[in-house]
Amino acid sequence: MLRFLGQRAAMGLLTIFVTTIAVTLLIHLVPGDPVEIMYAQSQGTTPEQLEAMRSSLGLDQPIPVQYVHFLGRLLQGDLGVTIRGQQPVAQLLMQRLPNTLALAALAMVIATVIGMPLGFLAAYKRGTLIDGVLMVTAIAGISIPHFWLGLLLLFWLAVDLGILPVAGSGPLNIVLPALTLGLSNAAIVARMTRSAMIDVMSQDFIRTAHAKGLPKSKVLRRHVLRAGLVPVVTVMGLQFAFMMGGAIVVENIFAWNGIGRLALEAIFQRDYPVIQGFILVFATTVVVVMLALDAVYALLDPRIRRS
Amino acid sequence: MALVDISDLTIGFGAEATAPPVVDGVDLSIGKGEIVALVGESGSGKSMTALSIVGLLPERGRVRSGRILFGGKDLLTIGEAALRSVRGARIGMIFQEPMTSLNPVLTIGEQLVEALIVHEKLSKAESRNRAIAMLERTGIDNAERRLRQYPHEFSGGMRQRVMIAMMMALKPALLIADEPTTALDVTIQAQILDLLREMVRDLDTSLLLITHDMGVVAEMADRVVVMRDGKVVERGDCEGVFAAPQADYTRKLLAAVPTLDDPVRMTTTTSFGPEVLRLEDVSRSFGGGGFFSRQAPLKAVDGVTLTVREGETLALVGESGSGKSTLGRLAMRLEKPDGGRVVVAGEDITRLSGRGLRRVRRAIQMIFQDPYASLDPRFSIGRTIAEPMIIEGGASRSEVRERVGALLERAGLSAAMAGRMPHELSGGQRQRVAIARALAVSPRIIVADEPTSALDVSVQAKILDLMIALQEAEALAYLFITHDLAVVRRIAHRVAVMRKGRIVELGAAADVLERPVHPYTRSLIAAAPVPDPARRGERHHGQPEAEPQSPDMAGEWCAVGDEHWILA
Repeated sequence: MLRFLGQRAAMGLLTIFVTTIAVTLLIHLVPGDPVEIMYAQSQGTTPEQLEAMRSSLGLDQPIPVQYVHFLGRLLQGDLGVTIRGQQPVAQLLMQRLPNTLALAALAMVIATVIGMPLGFLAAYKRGTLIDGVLMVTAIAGISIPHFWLGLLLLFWLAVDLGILPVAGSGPLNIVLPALTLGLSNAAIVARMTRSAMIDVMSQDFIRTAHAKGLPKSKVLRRHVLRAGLVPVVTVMGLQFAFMMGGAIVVENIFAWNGIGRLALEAIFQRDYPVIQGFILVFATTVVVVMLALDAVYALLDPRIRRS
Repeated sequence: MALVDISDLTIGFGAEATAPPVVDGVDLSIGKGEIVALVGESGSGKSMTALSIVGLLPERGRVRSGRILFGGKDLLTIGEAALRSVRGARIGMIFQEPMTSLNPVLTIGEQLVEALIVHEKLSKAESRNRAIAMLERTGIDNAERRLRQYPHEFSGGMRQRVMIAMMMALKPALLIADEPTTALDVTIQAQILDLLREMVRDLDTSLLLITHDMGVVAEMADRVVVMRDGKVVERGDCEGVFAAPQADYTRKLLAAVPTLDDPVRMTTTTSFGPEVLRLEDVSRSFGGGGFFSRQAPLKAVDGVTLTVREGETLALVGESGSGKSTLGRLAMRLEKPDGGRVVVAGEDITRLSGRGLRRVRRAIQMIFQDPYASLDPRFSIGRTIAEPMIIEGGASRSEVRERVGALLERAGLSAAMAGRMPHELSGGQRQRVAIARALAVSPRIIVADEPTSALDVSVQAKILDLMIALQEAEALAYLFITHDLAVVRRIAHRVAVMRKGRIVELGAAADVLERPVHPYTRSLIAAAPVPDPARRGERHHGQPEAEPQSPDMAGEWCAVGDEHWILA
């Protein structure tokens, strides 16, 4: 198992490493001169100011040199400073990251708590009306975009019923964005769980369990659930990555102060150091979560745990 | 009174009006302590009959009529709860696939004790002790430690022992065994059959043994019931059915079974043509050497030298994991050897690749075991066979069509079948298509990897006849890979016995099969079940599963007869 996790950790490090290269090249992938675009809307910038900005961003150096510098600073935890305001980017991101993680984690919990039992129920009642209703609902849930579901919930729960705040950063404020993000992912989790469980229910060892005369509830709990969770957990990691992406949209709807909102502002302002930092932090978070889920996966599947 | 009394059982899938029954008016009774074999080919309804006893028919399967009396109660009407208390406790069941019949994420111990806890209300400790005792009884060492292991840490034979321990722990009155040894190697099969017989005799359990293998029937059964197309066509005591079968179908079935008493294939010519395949000291290892792995590589094929001549069949015999399939793939250069040379039709193909390899490959073609998986389900039969010709180029559309028709006819099918799709064909017909496809490029040699193992015996006999006829007509050479010694007898001129990547015995079929010298060959032959109840118990295989063996099987080739060698 340690070897398995070691392999996964190495793959994760490699992913982050590749991301650092991509992030350095990013500025140069945008057509035109990045600094000129940056100042396109401000009037009366002198060529000297542009040059000063270029050299402060290190853009006057050859790309490999830029990369080495970037990597060197990164290893010291330095992601540069924002162009507007000269704040350290790393500090800014770390301030906002907990908010996004809390949002994504809560949404993940909501998605799991709602999606898994419903998927399991649908699998158990396969082919019945309950299954049909659940799966049609799930497809609807997957099809509704975040921003639309978010607005609906906002109108209903915050404006009409007034039980939740519309926007802001209090502890209750997380509920609406998490619900928005969680519900649409619950639909995906439900479908995944259903197909994984149906797959397990048709396996030979379930027939063996029935042949032993175990009560149905015991067959479901002991044999189906545990074996069926293995494939579900593997897909959860991807799910979390999507969830982080969805968080960017949802944070902006509900004015939730996460890194997604920060990133969007930075993109509009062409604040390259922030964008770079955001991408790196985002990628690292996804890699870490995937690694944690690999550990869970290894614990659930003895074929990996004991290898 | 019989323990089980099934009368007029009819089972069908879907609507009664449109779907014909798969089991049609079957009567069957099993006495106390009796071993009844339910025999038939695929689709005969034998498994459905057995599954209906414990109420475990597949989802859409329904019992349309009939009664299943067990201890005086009709299992079809007692209701789900009552049936569940019978299942496992009074009627146990073991299945064909030991690899998939145990839950991979629960320990063997958890799976062994759960039925004891549910049915006998034993405490954890009591049930654990019972489980250990049962495992020991089925011949598993270190039972206490092995309880904590998972199924993937057991071999196929060991898992089947665990299944037997699991089902016999509750001392059921009836054990249903559905093809319990079909997925196992022949030496393991012999041990599992012995264990089953011993266990049911000791605990006075009745056994309903479902099988397609007449050899297994002859070894085990007191009584035999033969099924075909959902109906019972013959029933009687074991000796009687084998000695004087009444139904035509039973006679045909018995005649089709290849036995170790059949004469070895006669060679019409004393000498064969030139060499068409030569393997020189080829080796192939898998695994190991990875960045993260410290495991030693597994030597699948270890320094094998062989030749096959025109018009000759060389049978490559071995159990699972012996490396015989890898050797076949090496001959085709589907696998690149780590060392040694592969020479096909006089040309060294060891280092060839791309166009050169494709050109030589026309001389060597392959037929695979599973006719269901080896044909593209989206290609018509005609397109499948025409594909190699189209790749070769140079033939017009009408020429290709004509040649496809001719090939189908040579394989014993009609030219009109070219328009059909694979799923419309039976297993035997598909294997004929695979043969026609192999013949399409006029090869000199065909590598056949277990070509008849997935087929029913009557179909198997016909495919073997076809292969022999084709060989005699056009001096084809075969490298015939199989685990079945009776099939070897029917088709082979020479035999190579493989074990752990090496050839341990090589010689003329008559010499190797009738005067085996190497102990491993002897144990293989001894373990094969004989389809003759009168000779029951003649099998004399005594070795336990993990016999002691020299660590690396180092050895020298010694001639023990004319063109007959062993590794000793």
